[in-house]
Amino acid sequence: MDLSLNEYASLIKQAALGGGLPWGIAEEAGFAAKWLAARGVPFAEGFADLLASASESVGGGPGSPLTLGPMLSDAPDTIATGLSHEVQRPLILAPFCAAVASASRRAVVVDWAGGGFATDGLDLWTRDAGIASAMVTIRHDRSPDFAALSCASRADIRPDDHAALQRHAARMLAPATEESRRLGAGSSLSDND
Amino acid sequence: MSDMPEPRPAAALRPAGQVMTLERLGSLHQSRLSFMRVLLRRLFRNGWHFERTVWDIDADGVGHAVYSAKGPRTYSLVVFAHDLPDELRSDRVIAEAWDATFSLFDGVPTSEDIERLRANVPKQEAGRVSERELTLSRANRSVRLWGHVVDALAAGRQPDPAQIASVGYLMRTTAVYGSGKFGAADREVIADRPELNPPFQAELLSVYLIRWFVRDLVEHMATSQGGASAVRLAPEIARSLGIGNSTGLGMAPFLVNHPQLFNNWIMARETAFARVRALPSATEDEAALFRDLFARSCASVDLWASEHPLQVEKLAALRPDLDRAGAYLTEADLVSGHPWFRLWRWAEAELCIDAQELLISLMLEPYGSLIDDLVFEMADNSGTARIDGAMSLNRLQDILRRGYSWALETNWAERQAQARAWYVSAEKLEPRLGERFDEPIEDYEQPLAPGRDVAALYRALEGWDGAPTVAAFAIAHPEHRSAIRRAQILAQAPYAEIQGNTIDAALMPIDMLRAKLSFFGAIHFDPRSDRWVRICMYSGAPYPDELASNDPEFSIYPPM
Repeated sequence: MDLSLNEYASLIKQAALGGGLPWGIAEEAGFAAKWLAARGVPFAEGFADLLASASESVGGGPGSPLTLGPMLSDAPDTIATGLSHEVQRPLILAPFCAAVASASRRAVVVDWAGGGFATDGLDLWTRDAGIASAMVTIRHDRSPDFAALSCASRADIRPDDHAALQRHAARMLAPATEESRRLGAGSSLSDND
Repeated sequence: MSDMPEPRPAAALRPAGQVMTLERLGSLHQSRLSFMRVLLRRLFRNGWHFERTVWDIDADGVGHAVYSAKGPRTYSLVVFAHDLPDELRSDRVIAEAWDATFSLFDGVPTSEDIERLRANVPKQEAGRVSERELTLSRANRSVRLWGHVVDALAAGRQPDPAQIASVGYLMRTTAVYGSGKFGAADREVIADRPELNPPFQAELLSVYLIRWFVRDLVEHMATSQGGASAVRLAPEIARSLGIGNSTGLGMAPFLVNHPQLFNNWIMARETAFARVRALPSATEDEAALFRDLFARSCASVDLWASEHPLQVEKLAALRPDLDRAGAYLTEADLVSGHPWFRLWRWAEAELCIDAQELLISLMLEPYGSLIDDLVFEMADNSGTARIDGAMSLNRLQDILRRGYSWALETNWAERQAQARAWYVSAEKLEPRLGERFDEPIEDYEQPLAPGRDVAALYRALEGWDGAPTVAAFAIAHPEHRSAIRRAQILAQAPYAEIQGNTIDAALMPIDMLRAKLSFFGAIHFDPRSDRWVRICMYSGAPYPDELASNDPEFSIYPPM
């Protein structure tokens, strides 16, 4: 499916809310989804999987990239000496690492066994980055000397992932009730004159 | 002679606590910074060319048409006209059929593009458009006026001016979607084109071209009905017709969801007002223009009809205050001694808020060369604001005390203060405002009550004994992250927040709608309830095919 970036960001934000995440974290999810999609990797399967169980991993957990990522971008110095973390869907850290790279003017490299990514704040380099979860190391280093991902103005996602995200988002939709109808929801004066 | 110095105008901005109340936002008027005015100014000054390139519409009014606007690039309005039975016509966003549907194409569409759009645009939300399309829209006829105008023109007569004036439009749009909605191009795709940089230019270009199509269609239908005896709509009557618009609750959350953007709009208008207010003198021409437009504004307000009790009451306060302002202006020196500063001081002390804001908009009119540059600061291309985790919590608390004093003083434990909740209905996928304590909607609440959320943040900060930085607090309290972000935006953008309770029992959503629509350039707000409003757009403006020889700058003010 061909989505605009804003449509995709909005879908991810509502899916995050539907997954029980606080609004401020859902905003981060929308930001992250748009950033990744604009670099050609919308990673809808990663978001769909993460948001299916989102509320369980927040608050308690270093496990969610939507907890660790904002923590890093709030305090870019956190990775000055490097750190290691077990995290789900580590690619979702990339937009937050980009914010760190921009703030510190130093590229950020994230590695795990068999894959990783790097960002200088603007561009993204990936290597087998779709893993479901991994123990990752996050540090400042030089960005790779091969070509970065090319930019994209659309999010091309699989219908299955779209449907899964829509199911999460639909949890934020209020079902019609007799109370609401009685109180006038959706009704109006004649609007055909 | 007194030694007392003359009061000097400070070119200071009005404080947010004064400007951003719901009452004042609900009393705003269009100005030369409004987005329709910005668009027409550019189209006129830059010599855009307009052309109807396709007209394939049958005697029943069914078919398609293409209108092109040529400036540095070409934009094409693709129109699909339908034959809609009266009983299917509804202005609700949830309608499924319309009299006409539209999309603004980025360039010149091929026949393949037209066929792709024909399969999607008539379905609106149920269809998909692509990155080649900038907007998606639809419109319905005014049942009150359409038949009358077609019948009159078909019979060789002009329509009754009183009926024209009482409605003001032949069709009204019920939504004009842009910014990536339903697959259209994202704002980012067009934001760096000067002609589309100010907010909502693609949407408002669509509406401007729709108005042209509507004139063509009503004349086409009259000719179909009346044959050789049919006449064309007289140009002055056509000019007076705008495009109506029905706007419901969907627009209100926009202002809360785009704090930086809303700040930029208000900041531009307030900066313009501060510049004008600081002028030590005005020329006779500037004063004369102001007086002329004031008189024409009064005529426009006289034509402003509404049956809604709230609007009736507002108009009943506005009209006599405009009479008083008129009497004051007859005597006032508008040329020397800081005339606009003095006029403002008088208005602030003597007039209702609605009249004050109308005068401010009018004071900006003579000063295009002084203020029109501000138009380019009204967009927001900044994206999701990052949180500054290094900020101290003392500083954050200080921002909250300064920026949200009204919210910290509100007793949120009272039912009245949280009586409402914003949600999206599963049934119709439309934003709604419900009664929190009487409907099972709280679990689905959308975060559109920043005041309440900021007050909760403030309480949590008072109980916090961890490290005194935003970063430390935000890790422990993700539920306050959104409020922290808003507060940090507000610290840089003083007009980012509405200074009022958006879930109060007494909230009037139409105040939020009017604030937004005034920046579009709408006039004659006609609330149909406390949560939806009708307006008129482009009334008085030259049509695209007359624009080259008609400066549209003051056309929104009716001729005397």
